[in-house]
Amino acid sequence: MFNLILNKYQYLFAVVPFVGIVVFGYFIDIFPKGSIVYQFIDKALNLIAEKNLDELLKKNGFSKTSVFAYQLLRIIFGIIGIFAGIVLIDDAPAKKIVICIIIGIVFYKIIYIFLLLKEKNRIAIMKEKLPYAIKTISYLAYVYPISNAIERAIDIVPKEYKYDLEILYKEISDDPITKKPYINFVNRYNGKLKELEPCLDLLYRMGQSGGSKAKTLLANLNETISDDINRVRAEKNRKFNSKVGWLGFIPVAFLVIVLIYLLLVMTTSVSFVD
Amino acid sequence: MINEIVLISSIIIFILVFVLLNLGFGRGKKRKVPNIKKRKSLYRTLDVKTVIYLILAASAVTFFINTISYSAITTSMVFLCAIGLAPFVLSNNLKRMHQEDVFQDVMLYCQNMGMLLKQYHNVFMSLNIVRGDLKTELKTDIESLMKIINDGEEIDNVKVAMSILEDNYEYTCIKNLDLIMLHMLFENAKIDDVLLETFENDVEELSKDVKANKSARSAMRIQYIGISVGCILIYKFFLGTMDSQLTANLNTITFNVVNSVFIFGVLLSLFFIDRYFNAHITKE
Repeated sequence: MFNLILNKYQYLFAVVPFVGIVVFGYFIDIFPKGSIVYQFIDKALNLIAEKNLDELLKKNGFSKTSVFAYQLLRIIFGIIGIFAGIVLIDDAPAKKIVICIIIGIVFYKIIYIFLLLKEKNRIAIMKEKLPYAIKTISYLAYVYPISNAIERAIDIVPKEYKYDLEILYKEISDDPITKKPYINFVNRYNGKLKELEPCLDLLYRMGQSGGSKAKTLLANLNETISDDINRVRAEKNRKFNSKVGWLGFIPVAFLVIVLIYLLLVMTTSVSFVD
Repeated sequence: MINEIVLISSIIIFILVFVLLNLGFGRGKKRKVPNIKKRKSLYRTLDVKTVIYLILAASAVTFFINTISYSAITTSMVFLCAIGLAPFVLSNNLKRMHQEDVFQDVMLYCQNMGMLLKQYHNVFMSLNIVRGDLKTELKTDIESLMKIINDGEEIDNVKVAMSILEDNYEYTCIKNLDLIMLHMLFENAKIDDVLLETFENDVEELSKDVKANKSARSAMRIQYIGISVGCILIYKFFLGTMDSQLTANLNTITFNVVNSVFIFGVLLSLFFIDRYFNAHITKE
């Protein structure tokens, strides 16, 4: 009887819990923050209710897509996964529904994983371009004061840094004495660009000092950045060369495939002789 | 019978081409000066001598492949593929050589400008001296920039001209040199020699890295060709030792299909992967 009901309403029994799980994670804040329920839901459903979606969408070229539209798209995608599972899987109804719910959650998560990969790629590109951005500022720092150098660098640095440099310049203009603008600049990357901190520390110290001390600091900065640029370039070349190196084994792959096929044909009892 | 005919004709073509080349039959056309509009295309035209070399290479490949090909059709198709794909390989190689020439010019330009600006502290004079040493389209671009500076154009127009230069030659040293030149032209201030030394060091490091990358890529290419030839020889050895078993267990059609898959797979991958060996060598 129970199996009959499950079989008849399998789509409903699969879709409703799925939607419940993905939507419920967003209502976690109704529970008190320190409570056991909150902690459990936070840990268990943290996989499903991502908190940084808004930021990820903005930073990865989806600024025009609202979070709501994005979530709706994902839920629809998950439901499509559930429907596909129900059609393709042939098993006991209860087991089938559980598997389909898991498939739905996987389909729901896949789009977020692509977004995470895109963010990871963006951070990798930013790490690669960071030494070049700091190099531009250091060149300008030879002839202008630090704040002017940062202002002029806005038009020249890689586009990934333009927006954040504009904010840095504005904050320095409002508060030229403290180190806060530089700390804010580093914090905007959530600790993912650790190499930024010592460079900005040097820039702050150069801005506060003058004369020969500033020149010494600038020379130190240039030496550090030149080493970083060499390292980034060597790493880029190494990655490309290793990719090309792997492509070079395609003839070996062909040879192995063909030889395995011929050996299998010769060693099996089935004869292909005409 | 047909197989033997194809083999003999490949040998005859090989000999003819070798003899003709030595008689000086093909005299190449004069190299054209690169056109700015066609900056990304070949700057050497395909002359008769080059075509003859391509046919020679295709014949050599066919001659080698014929030793493992048991079908005249396969051998003929190999020859046609080799002829068809050889210009493709040549164009990749020529593009790479052109990019290397451009890179050499960029390095020459940056290094000389660094030294001359330190000596003369005059942008126009330094550009005038440097442009005489340049050979590729960079020379024409520098001359356009010099014209704009000489005409006393405003800073925005000079910046636009420099941004075109930066887009055509995507190197950080060009951007940094433009910064230095803009400052000297419009701020009328003396540039610190330390900055110019830093600039020269950066250019030298880039030049060293690119040279090392070029050597590494060239070694990988030779290794790749060696691996491909080695695979074909191993396959030939296998066919030779297992000839009777293969004849007993496989019909002719299946064997020809398998053979063709291997031959064309290795050959086509040789041609198409070759462009990766020419890519990204002089990029920063």
